[in-house]
Amino acid sequence: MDILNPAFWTFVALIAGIYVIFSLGLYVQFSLAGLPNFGHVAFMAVAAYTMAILVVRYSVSLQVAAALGVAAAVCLGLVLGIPSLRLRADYLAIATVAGGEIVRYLAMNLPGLTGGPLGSIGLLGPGNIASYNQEWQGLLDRLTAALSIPLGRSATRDLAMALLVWALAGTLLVVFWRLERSPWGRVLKAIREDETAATAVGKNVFAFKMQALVLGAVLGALAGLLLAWQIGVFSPDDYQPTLTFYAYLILILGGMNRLWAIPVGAAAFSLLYSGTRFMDFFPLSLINSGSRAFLRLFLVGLLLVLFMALRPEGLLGNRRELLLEK
Amino acid sequence: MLEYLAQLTLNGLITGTILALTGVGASLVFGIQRVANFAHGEYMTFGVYVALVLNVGFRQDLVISAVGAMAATAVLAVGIHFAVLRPLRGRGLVALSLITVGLALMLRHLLFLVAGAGIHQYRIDQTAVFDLRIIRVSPGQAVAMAVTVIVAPVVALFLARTSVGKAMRAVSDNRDLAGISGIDVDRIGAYVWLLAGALAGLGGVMFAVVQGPFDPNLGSQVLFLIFTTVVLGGIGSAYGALVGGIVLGLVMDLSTWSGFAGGLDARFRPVLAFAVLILLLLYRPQGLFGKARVL
Amino acid sequence: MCKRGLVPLGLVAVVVLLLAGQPVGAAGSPAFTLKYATLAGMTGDPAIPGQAWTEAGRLAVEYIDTTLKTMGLSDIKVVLSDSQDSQGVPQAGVEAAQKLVNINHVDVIIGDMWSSVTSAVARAVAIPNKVLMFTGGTNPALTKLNAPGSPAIIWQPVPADDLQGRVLAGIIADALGKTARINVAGRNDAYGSSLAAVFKDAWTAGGGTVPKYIIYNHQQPTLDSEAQELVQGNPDGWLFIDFCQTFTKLAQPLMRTGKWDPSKSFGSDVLIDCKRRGVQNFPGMRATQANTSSGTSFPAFKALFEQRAKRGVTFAADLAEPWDSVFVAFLAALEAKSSDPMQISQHIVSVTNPPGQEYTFQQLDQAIKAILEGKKIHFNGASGPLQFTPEGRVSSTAYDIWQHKPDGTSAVMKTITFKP
Repeated sequence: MDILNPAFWTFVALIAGIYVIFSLGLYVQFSLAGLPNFGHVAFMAVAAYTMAILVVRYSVSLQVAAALGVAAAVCLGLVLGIPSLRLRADYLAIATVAGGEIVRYLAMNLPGLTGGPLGSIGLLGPGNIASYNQEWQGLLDRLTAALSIPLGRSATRDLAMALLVWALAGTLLVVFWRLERSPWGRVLKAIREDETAATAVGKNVFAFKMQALVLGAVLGALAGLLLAWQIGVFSPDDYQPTLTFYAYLILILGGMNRLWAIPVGAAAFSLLYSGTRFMDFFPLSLINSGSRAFLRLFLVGLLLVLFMALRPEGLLGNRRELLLEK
Repeated sequence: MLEYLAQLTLNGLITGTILALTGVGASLVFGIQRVANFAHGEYMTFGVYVALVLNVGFRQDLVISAVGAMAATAVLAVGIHFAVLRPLRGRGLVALSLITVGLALMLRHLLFLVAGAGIHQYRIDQTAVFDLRIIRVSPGQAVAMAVTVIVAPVVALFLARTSVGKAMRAVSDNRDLAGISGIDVDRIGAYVWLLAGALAGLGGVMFAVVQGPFDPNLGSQVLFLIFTTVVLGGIGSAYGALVGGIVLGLVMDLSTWSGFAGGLDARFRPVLAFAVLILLLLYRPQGLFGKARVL
Repeated sequence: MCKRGLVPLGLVAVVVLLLAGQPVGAAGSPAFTLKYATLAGMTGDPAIPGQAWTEAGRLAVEYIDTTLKTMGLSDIKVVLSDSQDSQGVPQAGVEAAQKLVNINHVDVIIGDMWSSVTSAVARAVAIPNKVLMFTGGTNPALTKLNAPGSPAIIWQPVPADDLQGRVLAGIIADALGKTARINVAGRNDAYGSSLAAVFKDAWTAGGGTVPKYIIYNHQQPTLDSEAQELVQGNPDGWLFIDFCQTFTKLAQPLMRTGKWDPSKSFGSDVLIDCKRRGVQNFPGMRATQANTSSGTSFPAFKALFEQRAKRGVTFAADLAEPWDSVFVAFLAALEAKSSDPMQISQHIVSVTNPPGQEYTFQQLDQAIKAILEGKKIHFNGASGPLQFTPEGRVSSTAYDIWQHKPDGTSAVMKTITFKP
């Protein structure tokens, strides 16, 4: 077993980077604005499907399709947000979960539009394989070629993608870090702490919350597009509510109120998730592999509970700053 | 046509009553403990498998198996409450909900590990049928109906007449006021978990009886319907959940009736349920029977 | 003296060099270790068929391993390096496959069960890394992922929807007439919805009608409303596309309506025999499988699986696919004398097609001997005579029609040859 093969871990790192962007979107909505959005994965889904449908059926170019994908996610955010932003936290959580599940069910049951349960390869009807990421692969190839000048043979496509994703993630983290410390960010925190007080001083609470939601949608959309391009194929099963739970877990693992803890949380989560695929060592190898699959998810659940119980402030957080609910 | 409609109504009532009974427990828990229990589906599955062990393993009849399931699930619910949820109360809604997500993962995969990756069935002949002229009922459905007819009024009476029941409703309605008026809120909180667990176990067994073959995914497949029932009835309102569950079941099944402009494709029933849920949350978040709170 | 000792030394040196240059065992027989992996959804919704898929793969590797050890062929080894859980989600499947390929360095992946996951894994991992995949997905486009002109990487041991749909249309036309009104019910996943669509096209093209076309969510607790819809309008017959365990959820309410006639019902390949714990057969119902009833090892495979599979796993007809795939890959590797996936790929057509003596898995030792002696063989799988094409599809045209009997068992009643 070639445990330290960089090919595998580069892939894991790249997925972790995409999760950073996804979780950052959740951070903006939840940690900054106090909106417990449990349907965040729907932004990923809407962006990916929009982009894929445009590229495959209407031969739209990659950049335009991507921009429209993000726009579609923003529309979803607006449609969901306008009625529900005034809801209480627990109702908002349920409403967003329901919204996310509606998106997934529709994707699953409208095969004419989305390819149905088969996923994106079914977008051109039965018997055809629909593919949307040729342009992206071309871009990656050019990037890989450029990288092979300094790096030689270790410059693979996945490495190029990983660098690209982390560069983007890093940039976004910096941007939002500045935003968080700006007046805009301060108003959001005030709203999160005490909405009534914020309204009392004349802030348009609704507008600020909506902005947070929309920004979260944009980030979720970006993550969805990157993931779709990397894997090359997606299906409605990729967008189950569990993905949003994972994003929350990432926020918690790092530390709920620290933006720079997100990469730490994403790395920890990815290690946990991928690491548990390696349970074929003694004494666990004595257990049937089917049972090991169940054991793996049991462990993920157990770790989630233990972590929430024993270290709710996350790896980098501070007990005094503990604030998981408004 | 009438027969079709009658049969659909029956199906809707049966699904609805199962949702109603399970929803009562979930609603009270949500109202009193203020936690969205994402593991509620797994509590139901746990009850299903306890009943399976009793029914198939120990050759007990279905009634005893169901009672055993209720007892076991009640113990499980209370146990988890004392071991995990109560000590971590202060963490807040989102944290507790995530903990219940983790518990759900653990419970479901534990059941898979123990029961294996296969399907099971109770010892009922699912192909037998009682022909009542315009409707036809399976033994499983008959059992479910009988149970509901007996249990639902008992639960309603319990909540209305007994002091514990009244205390539960009081705490769910206004925790602080109930505490001031001398109710031991903590103790009632534990009792609520007992009730919710017992009803979840019963609801699960009934689902399994009506469904036929089942596997450990059973509970998670109906979790969101339970949540919808709770919201429909009004979070914290037990009577609301009873009514809400029946309404939801009927709406979902009747919507497929061809008399309604061809009827909704049955695949889209969950979409309908979710859409109802969202509309409710937007325009009447207190549900049918909850009190309109200042949001 | 020096000169006299040089010649034998030289001969020894030449022999040593010859032997060292290639991996040979005793006297030119192949020596390699063939590494397998299984990939399937082992948790979540696909858990039940996925766990069974994994078991079938494991049992097949174990069977070959035992046979090799019994024959004393210690230079040829087969190993199941790992079994990974794709959870039925393309993204997770790709990550799992990355582990299998980059960490375990497997040669053959038996999986995935689902077309969506297979297409993602194929694109992202199998094709770039040249690792063979034997998929359970029935989408006809999967084998189109293979680059024409090079050895195929994606192999599809099950007849794809486009073939099976037309076979079903032909069989139903023979039984109930070309213009019959057939209600179609399929499970809402890639398998059910695609096969149902192909059948509908073929059926309506032949002059028939499909009054009710219902794709249902098999995870729902009850399928009573769907059952109600399916018996409306008194159709001439029904077609069901589902797995036994979830089909039972539909069949029980169907029987309760009193308007369903199993003898006018047809099922897809996974419904040929549902009799086992928790599920039953429906007397009169017919289903089809690509097989020939003479020489088939399907009953032997079923018996072996039920005997040896771990507790809790249920048998299904499609488990013959991963089972056969393991044998096909092994025999092809044996003929290629190598575990290199590209070499194996070039021999798969040869070991699964005539000419050659026919062998089933029960005659594995004889098949191995024949190949080692340089003879041609034709491996006849538990799922049928296979007859892979170089593009990766199976091309056998003989189909068994199974019928559920009144006593609850199921048996082959007829074998037809399908003319495409």
